[in-house]
This record gives sequence, structure tokens and C-alpha cells, in this order.
Amino acid sequence: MSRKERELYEKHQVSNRLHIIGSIWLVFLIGIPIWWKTTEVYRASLPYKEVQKWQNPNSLYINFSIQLSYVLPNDIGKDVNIDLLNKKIQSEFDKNNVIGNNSQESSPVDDDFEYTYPPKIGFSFNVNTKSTNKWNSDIGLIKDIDENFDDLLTLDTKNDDEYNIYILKQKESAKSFADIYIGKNKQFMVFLKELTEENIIKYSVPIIINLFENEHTDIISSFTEEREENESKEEIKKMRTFKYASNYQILYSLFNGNVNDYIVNWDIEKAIKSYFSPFFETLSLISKFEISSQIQNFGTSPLSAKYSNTNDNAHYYLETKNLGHFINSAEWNLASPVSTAPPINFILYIPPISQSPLYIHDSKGDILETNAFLIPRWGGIVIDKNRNTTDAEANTNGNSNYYNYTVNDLQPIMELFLDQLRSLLGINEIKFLPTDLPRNVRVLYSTDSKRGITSWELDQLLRKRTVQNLINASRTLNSLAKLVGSLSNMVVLDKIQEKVLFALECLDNAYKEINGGNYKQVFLYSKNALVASEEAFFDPTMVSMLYFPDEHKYAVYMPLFLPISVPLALVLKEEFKKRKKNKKEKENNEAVVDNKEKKEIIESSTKEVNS
Amino acid sequence: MRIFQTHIYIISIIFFFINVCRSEYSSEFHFPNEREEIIDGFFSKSRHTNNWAVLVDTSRYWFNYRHIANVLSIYRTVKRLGIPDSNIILMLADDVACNPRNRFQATVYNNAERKLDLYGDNIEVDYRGYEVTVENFIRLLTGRHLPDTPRSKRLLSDDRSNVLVYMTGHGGEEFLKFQDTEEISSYDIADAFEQMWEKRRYNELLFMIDTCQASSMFSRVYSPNILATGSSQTGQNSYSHHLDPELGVAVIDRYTYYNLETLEYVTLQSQKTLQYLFNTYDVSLIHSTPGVRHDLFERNLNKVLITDFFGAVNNIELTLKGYKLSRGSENDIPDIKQNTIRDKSDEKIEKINHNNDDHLIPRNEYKMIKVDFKKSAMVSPLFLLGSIALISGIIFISKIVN
Repeated sequence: MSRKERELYEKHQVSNRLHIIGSIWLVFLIGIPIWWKTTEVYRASLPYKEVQKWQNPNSLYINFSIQLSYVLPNDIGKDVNIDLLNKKIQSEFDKNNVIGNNSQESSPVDDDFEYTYPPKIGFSFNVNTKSTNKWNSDIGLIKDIDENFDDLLTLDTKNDDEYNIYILKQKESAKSFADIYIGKNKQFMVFLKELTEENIIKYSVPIIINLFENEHTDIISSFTEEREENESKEEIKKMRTFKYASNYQILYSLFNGNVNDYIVNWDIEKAIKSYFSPFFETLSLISKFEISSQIQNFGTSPLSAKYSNTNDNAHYYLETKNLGHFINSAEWNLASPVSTAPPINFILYIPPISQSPLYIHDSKGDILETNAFLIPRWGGIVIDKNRNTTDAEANTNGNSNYYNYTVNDLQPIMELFLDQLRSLLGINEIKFLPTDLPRNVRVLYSTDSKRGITSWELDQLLRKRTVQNLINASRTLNSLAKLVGSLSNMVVLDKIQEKVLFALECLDNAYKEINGGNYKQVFLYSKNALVASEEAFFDPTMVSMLYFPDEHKYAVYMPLFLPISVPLALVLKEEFKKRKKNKKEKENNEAVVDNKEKKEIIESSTKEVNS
Repeated sequence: MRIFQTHIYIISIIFFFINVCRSEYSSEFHFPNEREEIIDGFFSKSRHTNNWAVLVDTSRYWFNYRHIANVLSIYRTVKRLGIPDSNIILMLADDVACNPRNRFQATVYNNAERKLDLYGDNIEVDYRGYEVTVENFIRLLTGRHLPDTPRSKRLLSDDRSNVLVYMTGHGGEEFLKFQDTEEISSYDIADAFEQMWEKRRYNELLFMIDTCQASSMFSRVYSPNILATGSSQTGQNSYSHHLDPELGVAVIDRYTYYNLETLEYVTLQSQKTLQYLFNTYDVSLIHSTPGVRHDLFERNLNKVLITDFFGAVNNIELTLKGYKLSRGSENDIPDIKQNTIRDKSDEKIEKINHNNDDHLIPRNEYKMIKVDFKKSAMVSPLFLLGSIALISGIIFISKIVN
């Protein structure tokens, strides 16, 4: 091979090698971004700014507008300038319209701020006054004032959201200056002796404001989080009331202490239908209830009763301080595996004959009339005390051991269950402390024996749950944003994003609607905001990257990339080295050539000189 | 005269009072809601209303007999003290009782005397065998379950729950091994607890861990109201208590054993506090220094009852009256105004859920969970580009080489 051929061959070889290295590197360099892109965790972008917005305590200002409608019967209405009266009442309300505006200006925001800080809630009142000819002002004197009286005074207004304030005449013989009757259908009746404008204002405005002030403190106190030991009423109320859920499951259980004593049955389905269905129906807007029932035999309570034979009333009794151990949680089958909705248990317990009659002693040692107690956030228990007295009745059945609870038998028990259920769900009876009222004013408050909840109570519950849901939804969204922000390789699917957006939309709508007085609609928005935000937060996909640290990733990819990258890097290094060397050689060669040429020139010149 | 006058004054004042009083109480209405609400009952000093227990044994195989015995001993204790099975989540490999090497089939003992069969006839294991994974544990704590998870596998605690988390297994500094395949780090546990706190899934939490270097496992916890205790300090090992020569394995760990010595004498009515429990820890018996971390816990340990975490709460409130109900005939269901507002939004949430059914399992490059044929058929354009580049590169190289 000639020298020229060899050079050519070497050159070819070099270019060949370069091509090979170059193309491998090319694949590698194209491959890396593709790999990076394809293995990237999918993260839908969340609207952090909007979520943050709801954390600002000032944006959480909730103002309920209350529509009040003063109704005067025609016989007094015709003497009164209605427009003027309306203005006067309105201005009186405006003067006192400070509920909730206790302006604590935003203090510095610390980390747990959003939980300890109660929301700002206000009520504003809109008054209109009208007169009616449907009844006369002395209607209260003719009829009995009870539940049916409420239905008597009903205006056919299409507006469901108004509170009607009826001005009526009081009996001359009454000793108090004014009586107030709060009906079951959003009625507020004022019975006055003297029907003057001043009296109308004096005996309605402060009391209505007080009513809403109480509601305001009730809502606010449900947000404060005290950790000190205290047994205040508020604390116990909070302890007792279930957290809001859109579904509850209610289980009615009949526990028969000893089957050898009695065989029992109960008409629970009929009883629930006839006593409770209106209640559940009314509340179905707020929460849905799944109802089931069971009978368990041999369900003796683990608590042994004490025997008392004092004052000719021999009975067994249970002490209040031990009642907490009444439930035999190991053996009584109460938990339902079917749904994850919070369970509410109601138990009717029939003690065995060996322990009856069985009574509960209250903390003073007296027999408790109702023989029932409640376990906070769990349910209610009624111990049957009438079993013994109905023996004769049972005998007529032919089977002395068989006893069937009829719908009528169950009425007192259902009444107790309903009272317990009401307090477990956070329904507050309207109450006034004597100090809240002007002197010599009496307030009577109606109950609703059909529905089990009056419209006032329902509205209060609606408003309370609305506020709680709105706050909880915004907190949940914030927690979610915090979580997603702090874990950079957590998967965030489109579904999460959609739910967050939907929750924000609901929050926006709720705040827009809240002044309209349509509490039901607002509540629905708040409920949906809560449901959507919780679904987003508790989504099963939000856990996948929670425990996948970066080291694991390196461990996975190291065996893949290390074997490729080392020779690649080495080859590249080698190539550069060779190039450098070649360059140097070339330079050297050139230098040698130069020298040679110079030599030749010198030589030739010397030749010339020589010649 | 003067005296007479003052007498008249006094008498008139008395008369005035009587008048006022009479008018106060002589109204014609009946006032049912006058009295102040009286709440009679028993309330615990702690603010919790329910108790939950999460008991985890992270190891498997016959030679880890003692870990199962540890967990089952605690399980027995909390059940004895009234926490119902529905509130206990038991994670257990459960491969010991019926192991062929077990001379006493279908039993688990925590003592060489073999007096008390922990396996018994009434235990409910919620996560069994290979279900005991880090993922499931984290899902359990954070509440992010797949939709078909049954109720018994969920921790449905709320802001009034006291939660006991007991773990045992083999661990090292800042990690705990889960069945020889994976491990959970102290950061993961701390983050999971924070997730619980964010959604107020506990009121107070007691974290108890029996493993080597146990204290390192709760060193990273940062959420409030958590009390943590472990068998040993960072750098220390934890030891087993004694061996059953007939079984040929150690049957219980020292730390759990000495905890049980105290807990066995606790009854529901007992007033013993957690401080009392911690004071019983004897380094010379346990052979390691148990750690207690209470800087995040607000209550004084002298006031925290053992039963606040190991037993069921027993708050009750007496019901004073029923709510008066009336009823017509059986079929007379009162007429209720139907809700005129239709809740369309429920449907929307449903729709969101439905639309994304395909993505229920995240696209996750580390684990092959689900093969989606629809997806794999649709080649992503980037992948296409990459493969084209690769093929062209190969062709290019082969051309040059030839």
C-alpha cells in the first residue's frame, strides 16, 4: 500500500468513526427530551389564585339578608300610615344592623390561621309592611294559641322566604305588656295591649335582632377550636352534633335482653313512616337518610344494674357515670359495612326480667322520667320501662311471652328518638335568656308535632350548615392546593382540576346568591362546593406519589443510563483527545514542513550562492 | 311621724315587688322553653367522642412470630377496653397461626406459658397478607381509598377522634420495612399525619412504635396534637423478650411486653395516665431507652388517661324530654311541600366522575397497574418521533459501516 492510499484509508476511517459516534449521540440527545416528556407526571394546573382568594378572611364575609314582612290586620292597619311605619321599622333595624360586623381587621396570617379564625357573618334586614283583611286583630282572643293557630294565620304569598310578623291584640286581662308567639311557619306574632307604632317597634325589633344574634353566636362558636378542658354548653353542643354529611345512615335496633323472657317484635317500619317520614322529608334538602332496622336477641348490656328497694318502689337502676359502658361494642352488631355514610344508631333496649324494671338514675340519684340517654355523635338509647306493666295485655295474645310493639306503643319511644336525633343533627330550639328580653315580655315557641322541625329551626339549620360548608369547602381547597404545591411529582388528573373548578364555581355562586335570601339554593351551592372539594381532596389518585422519593427514581434509572452513558462519554473524550493530538501533530508536521521548506530555500539559496 | 313615713315607703316598695313578681308569673301562656338548658350526663375531660386504632405489623414469615404477637396483644387490649372492631383497623401478614411450623395450630401466644390464645375466636383482620403495603397504609391514613374499598378498611375518623397508631416490624434509622419488599420513611409518616390534620381526621393521635431505632420514625412528625413513643432511641436496637422453646421463636418484644404489663391492669374506669405508663418504662428491663415525644402534644401527660387512646370514650347525656309528635291514621302522612329546587349539580359531579373513568388509575411509569388497550393502540406523536429518529439513526450507521 502506498502512503497516499494509507492516508486516504485513515481519513475514511476517522470520518466513519465520527459518524458512528455522532449518530449515537444524536439518538441519545433526541432521546433524552422524549424520555423526559413521556415519563413526566401528568399535572393538570390548578387555579391557585382563586383558591387563595377564599382564604382571605375578608372574602369570607357572609351576609344573610332577611326579609321581614310586617302584617297588620285591616282594623288597625287603616289607622296607620303603613309607609311611614315601614320606614320607621326599617330605620330601627338599620340602627341595630351590626350583627357580625365586629370589624376585627385582618391580623397577620399565620399557618393555622384559617382554622382558628371564625368567619364573618352578618344579617341585614329588609322590612316591608302591609295590611290584610283575612283576620281581625282580635283573632288571638278567640282561638287557642297552639300549633293549629299557626296554620290559621297563613297568607297566600308566593314568597316562601319571608318571615311574617303579625301584629295582634292581647287580652285585656293579661299581666305582661306583650306576648310573643313564634309559630312553626316562619311566623312571629306580637300580641300587644296598645296597638301604637312605638309598641310595635319596641316589642318586635329588639327581640328579632336578639333572635338572630343568638343564631350568629351559635354559628361562630361552631368554628372556634378550644383545646382547654371545659364543659361549657357550647362545647358539649359541638361535641354532640354530627359533622355535616350529605348522607347519613340511621339504624334502629331493638335489643332484647333475654329471649327466654319475651319474644318481641315491633312495627318499626310503620312507626317510622308515620312519625318520622315528614321529618326526613323536610330535611332531605340538607341530608339524605338511609334507614334500616334490626332486632337482636340475647343482647344483654354488659352493665350490671344495681338494686334499690327504698320507698316502696323496688327497681333496678343504672348510674349516670357508668352509662357510657352500656353498649356492648364487642358483641352488638351495629356497624353497617354497606355504606360509608356516618351511622346514627338508635337502640330500644328491653332488659331481661331478672333486671326489670330498669331505670336510669340521674346525677342526683333520682329516677329519670324518660329512661333515655344520648351518646354524642353516636346515637340514642331508650330503655323500655313499660314492659312489666303490659304483661296482662300480652296474656290476651295467647302467648304470654310474645309481645308486639304497635305503632301506638312506639310513640313515646319515637318521641325520644326524635329529640335525640334533633340534637345529634344540630337543630337548635329557639331560646331566649330572660336577660335578652325587655321586661314583662313573654315568648312562646311553637313546636311542629307533624314535621318535628319548624320552619324557623329549619332555616337556622340551613344557614348554619351553609356557612360551615362554605368555610369547609374553601379550607379543603386550600389544603389541596398546599398539598399539590408541596409534592411536585404528584399526579393531578383533569378530574381533580374539574372538581376544583366546579367547587370554586359553586362557592362563587353561593356568595352571589347569599344576598337574595334564597337559602335553599345557597345551601345547595355550598353543599356541592363541599362535596366536590372533598372528592378532589380524597381522590384515590392523589396518593400515588406520596411515598415515592427521588432516591427511588435514581435507583430505577441508574442501571439503564449508567452503562450507556459511560462508554459514550469515554468515546467522546477519546475523540477529543485524538483530535487535539492530531491537531498538534499536524501543526508539528506543518512546522516540520515549514522547516523543511525553509531548509530547502536556504539550501537552494546556498546552492545559488555556491553556483 | 318620720318613722311612719319610712314604713310606708318600705311597705310600698314591697308591694311593688310583689306586683312585679306576680305579673312576671301570671301570664296566660304556657312557656315550655323558659328554663335554662340543663345538660346532665357524663363527659370525659378530653374533647374526643370516639376512638380509633390502627394496628400494623409490617413483617411476615414464621421467624417474625413475635411481631404478630405484639400487634395481637395490643388488639386484645383495645378491644377489651371497648373499642369496637369497626373502629379497629388491623394490618397483619397473618401467616403465623396456620403456619406448618406452628406446633399449636390456629393459635398465637405472646407468652411461653401459652395461657392466653391471642388468635382466639373473634379477631377481625382488615388488611391481610400482601395487602399490608406502604400504599395501603398511606391510603388508610389519608383516607384516599379506591371507591370500592369496604367500610371496615377505612379510617373514618373525624375532628373528635382519638387515634392510636401502633406499628411494629423491622426498621432502621428513619425507615420501617414493609414485608421485605418496600419501606416507609419517617417523612412519609409525618406527611401522612399532616394530611390527616389538614382535614381534621383526628383530635389527638398517639403514635406507638416497637422497632429498632424507633425514635427516628417520629422525629420528622410536625403536626399538632400528636404524642409519640417508641421502643428505642436512634442508634439503638430493640430486643425480643423471651423465646418459646417449643415454638422455637421469640414470642414477644420487650417494649410491648412491658407496656402490656401496665395495660393489662387498666380497666375502663381506671384513672391511670399516660405519664404513669411512661414512668413504668425501665431501661434495664427493656434493654433500650424508650423515646417519648410530647412537644407537639398540648395536654399535660399527667391528665391524659390511658383509656383516652386505648379505650372507648364514654360520654353520655341524659335525655330529659321527648319531642311531641302527633299522628293521624297510619296512612296519613302529612303533606309536605316538595323541594322545588332540583339539584342539577349532583349530576354534574357524577358526570365528572364518569367521564374520567379511564383515568382512575394514574398514568404511572413506575408500576404497571393497568393495561389500557385503547391507550396503547394510540401511539403518542412524541413516541413516534423518537422511534423514527432511532430507526433512521440505525439505518444511517449501518450504511456507513457497510
